[in-house]
Amino acid sequence: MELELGLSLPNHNPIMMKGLLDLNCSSDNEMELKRNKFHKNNYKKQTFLGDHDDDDDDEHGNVEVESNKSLSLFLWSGQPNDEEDDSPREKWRKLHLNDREIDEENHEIVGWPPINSWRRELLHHHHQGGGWMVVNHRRGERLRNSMYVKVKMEGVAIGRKIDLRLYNSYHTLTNALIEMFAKYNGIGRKKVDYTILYQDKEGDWMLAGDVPWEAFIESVQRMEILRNEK
Amino acid sequence: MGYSFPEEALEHVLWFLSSDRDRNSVSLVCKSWYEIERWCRRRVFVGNCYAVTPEIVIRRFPEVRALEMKGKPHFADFNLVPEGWGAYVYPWISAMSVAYPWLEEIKLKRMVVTDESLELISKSFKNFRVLVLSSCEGFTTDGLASIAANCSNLRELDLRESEVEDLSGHWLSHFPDSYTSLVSLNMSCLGSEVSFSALERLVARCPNLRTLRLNRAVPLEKLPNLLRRAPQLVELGTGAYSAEIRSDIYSNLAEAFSFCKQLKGLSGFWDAVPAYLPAMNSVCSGLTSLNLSYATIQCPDLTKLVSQCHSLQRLWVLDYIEDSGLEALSASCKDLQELRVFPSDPFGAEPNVFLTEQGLVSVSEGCPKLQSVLYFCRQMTNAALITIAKNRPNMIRFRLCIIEPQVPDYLTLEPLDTGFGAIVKSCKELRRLSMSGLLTDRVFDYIGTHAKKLEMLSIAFAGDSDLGLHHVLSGCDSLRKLEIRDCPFGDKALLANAAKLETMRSLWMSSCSVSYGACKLLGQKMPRLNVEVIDERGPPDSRPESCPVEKLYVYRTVGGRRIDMPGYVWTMDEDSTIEFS
Repeated sequence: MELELGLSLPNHNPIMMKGLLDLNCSSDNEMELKRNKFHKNNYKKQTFLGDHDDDDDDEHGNVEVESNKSLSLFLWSGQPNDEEDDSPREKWRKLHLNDREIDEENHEIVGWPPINSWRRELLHHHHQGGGWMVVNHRRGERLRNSMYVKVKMEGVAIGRKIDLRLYNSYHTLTNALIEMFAKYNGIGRKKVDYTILYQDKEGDWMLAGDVPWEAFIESVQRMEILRNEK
Repeated sequence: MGYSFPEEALEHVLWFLSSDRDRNSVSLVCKSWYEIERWCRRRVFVGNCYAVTPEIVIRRFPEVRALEMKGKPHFADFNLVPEGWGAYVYPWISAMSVAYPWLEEIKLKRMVVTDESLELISKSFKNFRVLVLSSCEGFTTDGLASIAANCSNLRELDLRESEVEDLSGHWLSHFPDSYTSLVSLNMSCLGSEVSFSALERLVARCPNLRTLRLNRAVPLEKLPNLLRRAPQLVELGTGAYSAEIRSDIYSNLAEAFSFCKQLKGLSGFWDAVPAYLPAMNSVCSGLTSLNLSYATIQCPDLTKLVSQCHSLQRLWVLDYIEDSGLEALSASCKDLQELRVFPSDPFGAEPNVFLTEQGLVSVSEGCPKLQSVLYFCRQMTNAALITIAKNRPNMIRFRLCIIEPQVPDYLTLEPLDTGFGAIVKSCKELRRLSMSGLLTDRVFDYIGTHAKKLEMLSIAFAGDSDLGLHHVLSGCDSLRKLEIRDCPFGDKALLANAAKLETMRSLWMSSCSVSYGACKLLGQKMPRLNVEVIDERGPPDSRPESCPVEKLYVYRTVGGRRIDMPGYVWTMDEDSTIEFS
C-alpha cells in the first residue's frame, strides 16, 4: 500500500498543499512514497442539525459544533488506482471468500437480512411446520401455539401458509383451502375435482382424508393441492 | 466584564430550554453562561456510553435528573457484535448513586444491565420514576423484583425488546399494595406468566395507567378483565391473541374494547386468530398506531382490519399485507406517516407472499404524509424508487431491505444507483437511509452530492472501491453514524477522511478491506478517536499489517480508551507502533 501522509496544521484553508510531510518523518523515509495529486478536503463547520437521534423511534437533540479543521492522513487523488491488477472489489472478494460468516445450519449470512433476534425467534417457531412452544414455565406444559403448514396448489407459483388449529375437520379445511386459492388465482369456484395430498412425518406423500383427523394433525408437515379438471 | 443581566433571570429563561442543542449553544456564549447553564441542566443524553465518562458528566452537570444513554453499535441487533463486547451500565449507576440522589429517569439502549445495577437503582434514588431498558440484556426477573419492591414513585417501567433471564413471573407481585403510581408498563419481552391476579390488582389500583403492554403469556380470555379495570388506557399491547373460538369469549372481548374510548395504540397480537380481530372494531377508527408485526394473520383479514383504521399514523406489519393490502392502506389511511413491513419468511429461498415494489409505490402515492419507511421485499426497480422519490419529497427515513444481497433492478438488470440517487436528490430532508440491492460507487457519489441532511447511513454488500466511501465521508455534511458491512472499502478513503470521523458519533465497518496497519495509523494520529479492532481470530499482531481486520469500530471520545474490553477487542492508540515490512 502506498501512502503519502499529510498532516496539515489546523487553519482555515482547505488543504492545498503538495507533499507536505508530516511529523512522522522517520517513518516516511521507510515508506515508499508516491506522488499523487491530492484531493481538496474542505471541512466546513460541522453542526448536527438533527433534533433527532434516529436509531429507531427516538428523537433526541444532540449538537456539537466543530471548528474548521483540515486533517488528512492520506492525500489521495480520489481516482481509482489504475496500476493495481485487481479492482478493490475483486481484492475484497478474494479476501473474504472464505471469511464470510455462514451459519452452518442455515446457510445464511450472519446478520442478514437485518432483523433482530425477537423477529428471528418468532419466525423460527413459525416456520417449523407444526411448531410447539413452551409458554408456561412453571406448569411445564407444552401448549400448542401455532400449527402452520405450507400449502401449494399445482400450477400456482406462490404457496400459502395456513394455521391448522383453525380447523376441526377435513371438510372445513378443504373448503378453506379452495376458498383461499380461488381468491388469489381467479379460479372459478366451480366444482372442480381437487385432490389434496399431504406429506407426513416420515416424508411420505399421502392422500388427505385417509386417516382420522387427529392422526392427520399429528403427522402433517406440508400439503399440496392437485386440480383434476375433467 | 460586568453585565447587568442577573443570573436568576438567565436561569429562569434557561428553564424553558429543553433541547440539548439549544443548551449547548447557550453554554458557548461565555463562561458565566456556561456555569449557569450547567447547574440547571436536568436532562443528559449520551449517544455513546464510551464517548464520555461518568465522572466527566457528573463534574459538568451536578444536578441531573434524567439520563438517557446508548451502548452497543446498532449492528449488535443483527448479531454482528460478539458477546461480552461491553456497554456495561454499572459504573454509571454506581457513580450516579452518589452524585445524583435525586435522579428520576434512566433510559438505556443496547446496554448490559445487571441485577446488581437494578438493585442499586432501586435503593439509591428515592424519587425514581422512569426506567426504560430498550434492547438491553444481562438482568433477570430478580432485578425487576427489586425495582418493583423499592421504587415507590415509579411511573414507567418499559423493557422493550430486552433480553431478560426469566426466572419466574413472581417479580410483578413485588409491587406493594400501597403502590399506585404506575403510568406505563411494558413487559412484552418477558416469557413467563405473571400472577394474573397480581396484575389485575395492580392495574385496578393505578388510576393513571396509560400504557400497558402485556407479554405473550397473558391469555386472550383474561384480557377483558384488565381492560375493564383500565378503560382509560391509551396504549395496549395484548398477549397472545388467540383462544378457542367461543362466542362468549368474543362478546366479552368486544364489550371490553368498547369501554376503551381513549385507545390510540395497539400492539402484541401474537398468534392472532382472524376470528377475534373484529372484536377490536370499536377502537379501530381511533387508532393512530398499530403494530401487527408479530401477528401472522394474512389477507384478506389483515386488509380488512387495516382499512378500518382511518386515523392510522403508524403501521408495523408483516409482508402478509401484500401489495393488495398496501393499496387498500393507501386508500384508507391518509394520515399515515410511518410504515414498516417486515418479512414473514426472510430465510426462504422463494417468495411466499405477493409483496413487491408496487406495494410501496402505492403507499407513496396515496399517503401524502408518509415520511418514514422500513420495507423488506425481494425485488425492486429504479423506476419504482424514482416514482417514490417523486411522490414523497418529504421522506425523512428510508430503509429498504431487498432480501437477497446485490440483486439488480429486476426489469433492466441494472444497479439500483439511479433509484437511490433519485431518493437522495428529491428528499432533501432525508435523515436516515439504509440501502440494499446491487449498488456501485455511483450511488455514493449521489449521496455525497445530495444527502446533505443525512445523519445515519447503513450500507451492505455495496460499492466497488474506496471511492464510494470517500464520496460519503467527504460529502455528507450532517453524517453522524455510518455503518458498513461487506463492502470493498479499504484504507485510502478512511485515512483521507480521518478528520471527518471526529465530527461523527461513530463508524462501524465489518468484513471490509481495512488493514490492520491503517487502523494503527488512524489510532496513532487521532487521539480523540477510539479506534477499536474487533477480531475473533486472535491478536491482529499475529497477522501481516496488510491483513484486513474483521471489524472496526471508531468513535470520538473525551473519555480516553476503554478499560473494559474483552479479549477480542484491541484499541489502536499512540502506543501502537507501525512496522514497515
